[in-house]
Amino acid sequence: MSEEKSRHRGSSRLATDARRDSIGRNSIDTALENWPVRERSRLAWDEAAERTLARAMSTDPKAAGDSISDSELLRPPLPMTMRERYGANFRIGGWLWVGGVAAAAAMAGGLFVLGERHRNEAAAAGTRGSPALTLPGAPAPKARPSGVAVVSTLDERGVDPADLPRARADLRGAGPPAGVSSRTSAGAPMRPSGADPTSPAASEALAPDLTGAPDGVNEGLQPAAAVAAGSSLAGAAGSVPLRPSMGAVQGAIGAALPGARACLAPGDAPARATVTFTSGGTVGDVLMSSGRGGPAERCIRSVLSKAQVPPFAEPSFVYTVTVRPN
Amino acid sequence: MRLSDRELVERAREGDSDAFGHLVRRHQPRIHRLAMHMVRDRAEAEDVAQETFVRAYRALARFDGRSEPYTWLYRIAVNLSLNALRSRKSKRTTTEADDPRFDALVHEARERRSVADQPADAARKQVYVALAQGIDELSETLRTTLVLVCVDGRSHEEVSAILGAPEGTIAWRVHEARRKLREYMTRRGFDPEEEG
Repeated sequence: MSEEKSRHRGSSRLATDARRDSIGRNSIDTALENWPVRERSRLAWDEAAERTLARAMSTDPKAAGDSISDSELLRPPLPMTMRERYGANFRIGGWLWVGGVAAAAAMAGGLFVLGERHRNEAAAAGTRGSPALTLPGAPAPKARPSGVAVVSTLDERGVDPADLPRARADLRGAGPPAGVSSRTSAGAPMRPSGADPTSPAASEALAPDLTGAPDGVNEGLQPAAAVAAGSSLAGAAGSVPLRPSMGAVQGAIGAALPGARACLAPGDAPARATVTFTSGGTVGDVLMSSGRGGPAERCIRSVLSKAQVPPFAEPSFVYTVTVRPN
Repeated sequence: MRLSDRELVERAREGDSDAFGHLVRRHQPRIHRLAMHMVRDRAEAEDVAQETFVRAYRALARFDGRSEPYTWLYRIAVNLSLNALRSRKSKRTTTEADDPRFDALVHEARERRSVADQPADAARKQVYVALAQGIDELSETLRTTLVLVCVDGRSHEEVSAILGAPEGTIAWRVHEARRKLREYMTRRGFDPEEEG
C-alpha cells in the first residue's frame, strides 16, 4: 500500500484515480504483478551471462553495424508527449493553432495579392506617366527614380498625364521654371535643382511640386490634373448604367404587380403589358397587348405607370410583363 | 562483500571485466523478462537482453553517474525493444505457443500430474492470454509503462527516470492503461473486480 501511495504522489487528481483504481485492481493488478515466469537454473543464467560477456568483450565498437546509435540508445525512450502535457485541451488548442495559422496565411496571402495589384497598377501608371514629366522633344528617361512622388500622386488619382493637353501647352510656353535646373530642359527628368532623384529624400522633396503652386509647371499641370481627376471622380461617383439592371426592373414591376392583378376579375384573361422606362427611371408608357382600353387595362396601366427604376444612360428601356388575375 | 551497481560500473570502467560480469548476472533475468514482455518473441527477447549488456559495456564511458546503473540498463533495453518492434515489417501475429509470456504456464501445466488441477490451470491460462491480448491492444507508450510498473514492479519514480517522463505522467499512463485493460477484460467476459 505504501508503494501504491508513493506511485501516486504528486497530484490530487491522480490520488483520486488511485483510490478509484484500488476498487478494481485486485484481480488485474495481482495477475500482472504475479505474471508467471519460467525459472531458469543458476547455471543457465551463468552460461547466458558468459555468452553476453564474451560478445561484449569481443565486439569492436567501431566495427559493429548497429541499427541504433549509442546516442539514440541512451535518450529517453518515451518522454512526455504534447497531448500528455496539455491533456484534453491539446486537441482544442491544436485546432485553434491550426485555425490561427490558416487565418494568418490567408491574411498574408490577401496582403500579398493587394500589394501585387498595387505594384502592377503603379508600374502601369508609371510607364504612362513618365513622358508627361519630360519636356516636349526630350527623350524618355533611362531610369525613373523609384518612388518619385510626382508619379505616385498622379497614380493615386488615376490620371494619365498623356491625356493632359492643356498642361503640355502650358509647359511648352513656360520654359524652365524656377527651381528646375537647366538640365531639366535638356530632357532629363524634371526635379528640383540639387535633388538626387534616387534618394528617398528627393521623392519627398518632389512631392509638393505638383500639389503646390510655385511656378509655371505646376500652374499648368494643376488645372489639367484637377480637370482630369475631377472628371474621373465624377464619372465614378455619378456614372449611370447603360440600362437598368434586370433586378431593379423586376423589383419595380414586381412591386406593382399585385395591384395590377387586382385590376383583373377572377375570370378575366391574362393581360400582356409592355412597360417603357425613360432614362430618368420613370415609366414613360404602358402599352397593353389587347388594345381594347377597358377599365381593367386602364387600371393596369395606371398601376404599372408608378413603377420606377434608377436612372440609366440609354433613352428608354422596354420590359414586357403578363398580368394574370388573382 | 556485495558491491553496489555504481561500484561495479566504476570498476568496469577501469577495465575490470569481472565487475561487469557481476552486473550482467545481477540484472540479466529482469532485463530478459522485460524484453520478453516488450517484444513478445523468444529469440528476439534473448537478442535484446544480450544486446543491452553489449551496448552498455561499449557505452560505459558515457555513463555520467547521475542516474542509477539499472535505470541506464533499462533505458537501453527499452530503446532496443522499441527499435526491434518498429523495425518489424508487419504486425506479427504470435500464437500462444510461440509467445514467451506463457512459457511458465505451459511448463507448469506439463509438470502438474493431477487431473483435478487441469480446469484451474486452463482458467488461469485463459486469464493471462486475455490479459496479454489486452496489453497488446494498448499503445506503445501505455504498454511499456504498464509493463515496467505493473509487471516488472518498478516504482513510478524509477520508471520516470527510465522513460524520461515526469512521475505524474507515468501515473496517468498507468491509470489509463489499467482503465483500458479493465474495459478490454470486461468485453472479453472477465470480471475485473473478481478476486484472483
